[in-house]
Amino acid sequence: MIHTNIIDVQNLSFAYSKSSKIILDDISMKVPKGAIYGFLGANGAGKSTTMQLLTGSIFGNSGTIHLFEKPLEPQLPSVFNKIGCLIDSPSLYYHLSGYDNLHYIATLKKTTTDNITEVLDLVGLSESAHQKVKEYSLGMKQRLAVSMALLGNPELLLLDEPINGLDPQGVIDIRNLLIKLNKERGITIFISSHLLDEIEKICTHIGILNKGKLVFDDTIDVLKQKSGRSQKVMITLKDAKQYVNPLKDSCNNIYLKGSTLSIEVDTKEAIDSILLKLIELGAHIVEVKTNEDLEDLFLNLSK
Amino acid sequence: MFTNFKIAFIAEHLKKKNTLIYTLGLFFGILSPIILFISRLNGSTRFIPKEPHNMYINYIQNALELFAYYILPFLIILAASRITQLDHKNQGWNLMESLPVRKFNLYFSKFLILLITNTIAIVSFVLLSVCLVFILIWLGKIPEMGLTGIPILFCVNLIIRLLVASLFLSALQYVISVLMSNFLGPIFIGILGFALNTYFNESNIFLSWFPYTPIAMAHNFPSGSEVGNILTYIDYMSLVASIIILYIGFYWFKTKRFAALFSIKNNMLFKTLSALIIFGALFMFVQKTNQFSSHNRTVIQGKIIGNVTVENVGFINRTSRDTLFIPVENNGFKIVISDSLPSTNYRLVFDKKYKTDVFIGANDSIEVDIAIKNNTHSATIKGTRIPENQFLGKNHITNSDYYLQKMIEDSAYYKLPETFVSKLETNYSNSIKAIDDFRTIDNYKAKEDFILQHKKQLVKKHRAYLNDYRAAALEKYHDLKIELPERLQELKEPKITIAEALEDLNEFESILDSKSSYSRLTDYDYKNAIKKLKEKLSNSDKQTITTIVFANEMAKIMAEIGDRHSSVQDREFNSKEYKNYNLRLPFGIAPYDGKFLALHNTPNTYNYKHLFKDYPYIKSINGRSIDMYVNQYKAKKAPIASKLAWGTAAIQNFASFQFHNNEKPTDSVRVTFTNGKSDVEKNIQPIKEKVGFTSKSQIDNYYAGRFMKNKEFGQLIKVIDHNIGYINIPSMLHYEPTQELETFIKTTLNDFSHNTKALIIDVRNNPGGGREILQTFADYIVPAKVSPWVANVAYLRTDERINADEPSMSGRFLYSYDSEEWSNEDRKAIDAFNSMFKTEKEFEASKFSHPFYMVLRNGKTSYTKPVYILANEKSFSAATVFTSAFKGLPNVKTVGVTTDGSSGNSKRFNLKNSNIRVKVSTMLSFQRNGKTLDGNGTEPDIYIPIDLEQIFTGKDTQLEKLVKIINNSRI
Repeated sequence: MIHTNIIDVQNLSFAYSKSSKIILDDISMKVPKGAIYGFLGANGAGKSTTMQLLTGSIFGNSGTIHLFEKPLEPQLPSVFNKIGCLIDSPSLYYHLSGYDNLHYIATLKKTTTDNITEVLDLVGLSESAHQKVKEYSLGMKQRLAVSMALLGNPELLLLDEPINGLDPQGVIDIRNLLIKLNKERGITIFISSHLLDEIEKICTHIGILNKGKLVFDDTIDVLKQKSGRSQKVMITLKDAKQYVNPLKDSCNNIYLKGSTLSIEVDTKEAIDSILLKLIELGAHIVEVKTNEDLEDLFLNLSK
Repeated sequence: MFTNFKIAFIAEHLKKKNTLIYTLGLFFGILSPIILFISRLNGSTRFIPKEPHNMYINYIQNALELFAYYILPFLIILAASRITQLDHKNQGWNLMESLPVRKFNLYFSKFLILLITNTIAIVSFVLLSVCLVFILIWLGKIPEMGLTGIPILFCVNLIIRLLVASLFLSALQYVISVLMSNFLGPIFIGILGFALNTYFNESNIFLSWFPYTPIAMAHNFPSGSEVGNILTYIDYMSLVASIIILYIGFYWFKTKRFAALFSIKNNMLFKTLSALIIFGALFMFVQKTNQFSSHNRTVIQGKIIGNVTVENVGFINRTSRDTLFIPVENNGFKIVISDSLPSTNYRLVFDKKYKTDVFIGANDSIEVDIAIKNNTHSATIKGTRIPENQFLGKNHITNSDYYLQKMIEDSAYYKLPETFVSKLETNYSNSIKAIDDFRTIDNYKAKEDFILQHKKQLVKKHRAYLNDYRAAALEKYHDLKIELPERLQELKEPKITIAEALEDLNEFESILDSKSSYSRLTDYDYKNAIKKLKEKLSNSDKQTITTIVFANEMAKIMAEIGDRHSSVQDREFNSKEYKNYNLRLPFGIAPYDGKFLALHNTPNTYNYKHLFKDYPYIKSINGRSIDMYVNQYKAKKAPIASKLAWGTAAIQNFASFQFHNNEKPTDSVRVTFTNGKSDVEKNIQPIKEKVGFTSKSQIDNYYAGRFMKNKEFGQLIKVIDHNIGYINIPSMLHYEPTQELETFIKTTLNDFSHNTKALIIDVRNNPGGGREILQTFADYIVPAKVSPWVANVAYLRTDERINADEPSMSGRFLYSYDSEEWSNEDRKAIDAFNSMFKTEKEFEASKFSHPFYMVLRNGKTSYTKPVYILANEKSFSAATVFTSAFKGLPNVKTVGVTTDGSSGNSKRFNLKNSNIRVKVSTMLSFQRNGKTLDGNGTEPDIYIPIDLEQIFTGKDTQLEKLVKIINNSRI
């Protein structure tokens, strides 16, 4: 199977004007077809800006953007027939019902009313479709926004914080929906978020933006391997300070943060022996936490 | 491509669901017609004209005031904001960035919604108005002058014009509403523009490039173009402006930065500059003023609308009084004038009843349509002089004029000449600006000849203001100094250059050569006199001459010719400019027996006494004999008694007498009084009061004239002892409009023929008029045995030897030999008359027409008793024709003093540069004895001059003596 890249960004740079801060500095990024790409970055790192560049809302100073293997600009705006977007906060017409909002978009995307019923079903809004949006809860608005992005059977979804404001059930529903759409229809999904949990649970690829540079752009397995080289454990205990020195030799790195010791070791077994040692020393342990996930790596990479 | 626009358009309609935008349009459209309907139901007649008009057009025009000035602009502001706020509020613009819709389709489909809202408002406005008027008609509420045909073309044209006119404001508000996301911003800007519009309306300021102007013009000019275009130039400007604004607005919206309009990227700079150049040029082109081009002929035409049939249309030159009659066929008229028509004000008179003034000149084509209903009329003028006639139709009296008038009347302002002059200058400048800036709705301006004439009138008007103020103020504050700024220098005495005066003298000479009749009879070498005057002017060291001095010089020449109807007048002369003009001699002068009595009267009575009992007569003034003064006066060629009467009356106004002789008035006057043997000289101070001599018979004639005008005819007749009928004719009034006069004369003569033994017809001091009264009397007093009686022969000055009737002659009952007016009997009488008739003076026949004759015939009833016509030296013009016509009849005797005979058929001409009016007689009028009336008068059969008793006490001794003669004669 030949891998095509739905999104292909090469050497993209952007600043609002010559004198202001550089938002994106020579970014290159590839999103293969069928991937669920998680785009990470701290607040203000430039994620929304990147989304706007991808939709042609704004234009970069240098570099290229290809969507569906063709340059972006000439395809505007007809390319949106193949893309579903949810950028920034949802843009909904409050004086119209949920159904009418979708009808509006369906008209522009030249898709049928069956499609409207279908997407309403997918996000679970079939019952409230005919209520005016101004009466919707935050979660309902978010779901409606997602359904708007789903209209027209897009090949690519660009979603900016799609689970913002959803309750835990809603979060699960959307997560499962996205995974389902990806598996069953092969829709490529590009999600930008700062919620690592969610990203980790559904993404196949990750991109990490830090200070204008893309410091990581690869599959999630590669990322996990990277983080697999060292184990980290965070132990919160009374008088943590006095245990720094005794443990120094048993680990690679040890940091003290308040009353928490952050300890890096090579293996999981090493963690066990450290714990034993502390108990021998009579330490009063409050909490033990291991990070097998990305947060550390993320924080590291974001330094 | 169009499909995509259609899709975007449909999507926008989905978006505006439940927003009532179109409903808003409908509501705003019907508001004004409904308000007006309610007021009309309540009986309001505000703005319903008193002349014939179309009800629908009037209703719509009235409803348009509210709609065009307030409702429609407000709708546009509101709707544009509402439409764009749908997306501003809901982040719709962001949403649409990620939808497959072109920015162009998006932008203009929303704009189209705004246009549709406007259309709904405009169409519902017009349609509802039509329906409501229909209902009013059905309810019987038709105003007196209302015409009730539905004006379909008018309505369609109005709708189209309003749609185009509203484009400018719609584009502007839309562009602003898209660019400004906050709701209040565009509304605030809209209201600001709205307020400015109201201010401009109130202050009568017109700015063609202001977005509210095209809509407002739909109210001011509801019928739109006056030259048959669908749109007026203002509408075109709205169209062009809206395109420019939408171009800028769209690209600014698309690129999000105004500066992007000028960037190199995508050729934007080139596109923008081309658009600006093309549309800028278009804008300038539409702004360019037009002037009507000349037609190849001079045409006047028109039609009469209404249930009346009009027989004729008179076309009168208001300055020269030349009249042309245009025949009417099927209530339409048309005439092509071959002569060069001077550009001036004319009047069209329909059946002598309905008048419309028009301005027209050579190579103009105008159409005048007149609607007549219930004795009132309204007229519309189209053609090549629309701007001129429209401008004349406007009321040009402003608050400023009232204020100036106030300053002239209120003495509190007399010590503030700077305030007055400043106000005068402002009013003058504004008036000039008004004509310079005047444009019709199709952007036509008046031609140069009209503008020049109008400016001359403005000079005249403001000079009059200045002089009135100066006269009044100087009376109170003798040393007042009035300084005129640069701009008002031309308000000083009217002047022309020497070159212009010489040109005018040529014109003067040519009038005497080719128009004047009596110049062909006179021995006076007027050409030499004119030549001498030209030399005098050329050799003087002055650059200019005031028009009054110039007129005075020409008047001297004119007086020598002997045409008693002639005159040379500076019509712009205002005596108030000359401080001492009205100073008079403080006593009266009356001619008597070849001498000049100096008299004074007891105030409020008629009781004259010698001024100096021992020196009753005036010998000389300022060393010059009084005879010389009399012979200087312009009546110098009148018969002696008349010359003396006119001369002495003029001398009494001594300062103006000197003034018009181009002599400097003196402060005091040396008068020499005499008793025939010895003289005494006195230094007399002229005074303002009028204490001159006016004869009692002149005073009586004035009151009799009033009676006649007021139709109190009974006051004009009496029966004198014993059974002598007396009828006083104070002036030869035309029967139109005093029709009753004719009946009265006939009835009186019928009565008199039963109960009187003689008839006195008193035409003393009668200044003339028409010959109708003469005709009525002729029926009664021409005896059958001498009828037909040739009473008067006249020749018209013309280089064509015409031998046919001519309107001005027919109006004087003078007809050519071959006229249909004459029967064979009449012609036989004329032949008989001609066999013994010879004019006293000879003249070149080639310069005159064939003779015209006035022939009188006896009527059915006759007054068979003796008739005495009492006339004096002040009987003039038609009164002298009256006297002369009947002199020689066997039953008629003329009594009194030789008349100031004159009969001329005068025409007026305005000299080109000085605008001085030259009046000359155009016909020679001969009495039966072959003498002209002019210069000779008619001598009385019974000579009864005025005597001393009549002079001093006012007793009518002339009449008493006549009565005595009648009573003593064998009847």
